[in-house]
Amino acid sequence: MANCETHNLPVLELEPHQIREALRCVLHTIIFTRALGYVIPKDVDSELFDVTYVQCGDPGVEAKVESRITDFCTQVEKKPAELHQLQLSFYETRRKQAWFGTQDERLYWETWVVSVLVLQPDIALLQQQQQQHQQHQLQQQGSFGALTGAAHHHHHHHHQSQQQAQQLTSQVRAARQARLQSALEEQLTLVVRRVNDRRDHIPPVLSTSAVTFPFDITFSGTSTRGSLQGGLQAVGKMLMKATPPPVLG
Amino acid sequence: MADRLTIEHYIGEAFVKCGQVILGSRILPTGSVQQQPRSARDKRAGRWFLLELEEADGVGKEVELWRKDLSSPLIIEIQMAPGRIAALAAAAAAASTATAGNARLAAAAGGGSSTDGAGVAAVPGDLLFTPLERWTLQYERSPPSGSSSSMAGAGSGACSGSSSTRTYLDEVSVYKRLTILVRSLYSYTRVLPAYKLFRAAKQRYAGGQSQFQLQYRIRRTLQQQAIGDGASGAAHHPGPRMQDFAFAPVDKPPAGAFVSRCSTTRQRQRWFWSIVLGAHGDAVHP
Repeated sequence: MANCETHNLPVLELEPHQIREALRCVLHTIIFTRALGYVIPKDVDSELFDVTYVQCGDPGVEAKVESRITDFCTQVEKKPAELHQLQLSFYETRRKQAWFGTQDERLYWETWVVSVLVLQPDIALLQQQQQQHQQHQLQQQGSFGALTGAAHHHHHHHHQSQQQAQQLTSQVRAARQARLQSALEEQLTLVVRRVNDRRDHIPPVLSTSAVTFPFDITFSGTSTRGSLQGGLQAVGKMLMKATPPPVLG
Repeated sequence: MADRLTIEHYIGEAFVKCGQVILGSRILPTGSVQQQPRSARDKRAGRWFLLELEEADGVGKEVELWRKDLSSPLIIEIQMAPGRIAALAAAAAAASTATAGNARLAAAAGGGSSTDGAGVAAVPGDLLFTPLERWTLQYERSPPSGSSSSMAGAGSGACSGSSSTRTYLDEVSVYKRLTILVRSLYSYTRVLPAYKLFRAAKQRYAGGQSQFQLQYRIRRTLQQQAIGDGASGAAHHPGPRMQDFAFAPVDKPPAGAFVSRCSTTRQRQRWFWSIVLGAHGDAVHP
């Protein structure tokens, strides 16, 4: 895409249940800062993170973003081990003269690439750690019990190891959540900075709606935008409208 | 509207709008404004930069002075004062005299304000002054480039004399950039840690409590910087506790703007931010 400003945001490492909310934060922030029409901003306190992001207040936009996020999450579930990228692209529509008539062409002028790496949930990881920890404890207690012959010591140490494992679980979960919180805030800050860094490529505001620039959200697995899609549509029109050749004598 | 108004007019409105954005995300309104329905709000503030904001009585009226007068920077400091300390400050302020500095600590419930020229409350200790953020909006008119005889002489006096014949170039671009900047600022104020305090204070206020109060004060000078940055004058030199965050300037003739931020993290996780939003004005090409 010629003259399309591309912003590659840092990879977000998210657990599956966090992807939807994180994408809401980032995508709505981008869309709001690019909505140059009359906007009644809507502050949204994130359900999972200690973050407040801003929506532009357009129900159609919210529905579109939510729908695409749902599709993206479905895609992620199929291949959770891969790095997934979602692209939010702003475009303007121009009429293009072709052989068979005029055709609407999308000229993309800005793309935001949001990369998501899916992490295993804490629970699965920590359960493995807990089991390993407990097995280690039991091995130690087994040898101790053989020496002392006291069964109640075994129960006491087992209870202790469970408490330690729970503390470990909480600590790991808290640390991961803190890292993610920080990463998300940095990403939103980066979006705000990038929005102002380059503005010469922004086309004139022609729409009176709040979201002045149309956009689409794509990701791997969806149909490609731009010339390929437009070309297929053009061929279809040609086949529909073309008249058959005269019968040769 | 873009054809009839000057760049300075846009900048002035941007000052007011940015001030409203900042204070609207930090300071609780006084009175019963919070209970007013959304439809009863005055929507005149929403015209500029196409961003509707909630109007709060008693908060931020001082920033409107900059709509007409851009000669001095607009500095908004956000600070935190626990409720009990704020009450002490109110009692002390009644009997205190001015100390070093040119700002006065206000102790009104839900937020307070002060402007230059007043003294400070003689409340000891830096616990009372817990600066969280400093936002600075500054407009600088640069001397004309390639000036002809009619534009000879630098300084705002010579430039302003011929302002009636200028500034019809690229107002649309400047207005668009300011619109983007205002939106970015709106989002950014909600990312910073101080917004969490505002949110917590709002919830406690709604519940009849006000354990933490965010207060603000407004200045006209860049001198008398807050504790820790050691700066003086208009130069922006953050101290060791400060960090800078800069928006790209609205740097297209005839106006330019820059935004930067200073922050600090202390032992008690206090943050001090300073955001400088300035505009460089260039002489108009006739």
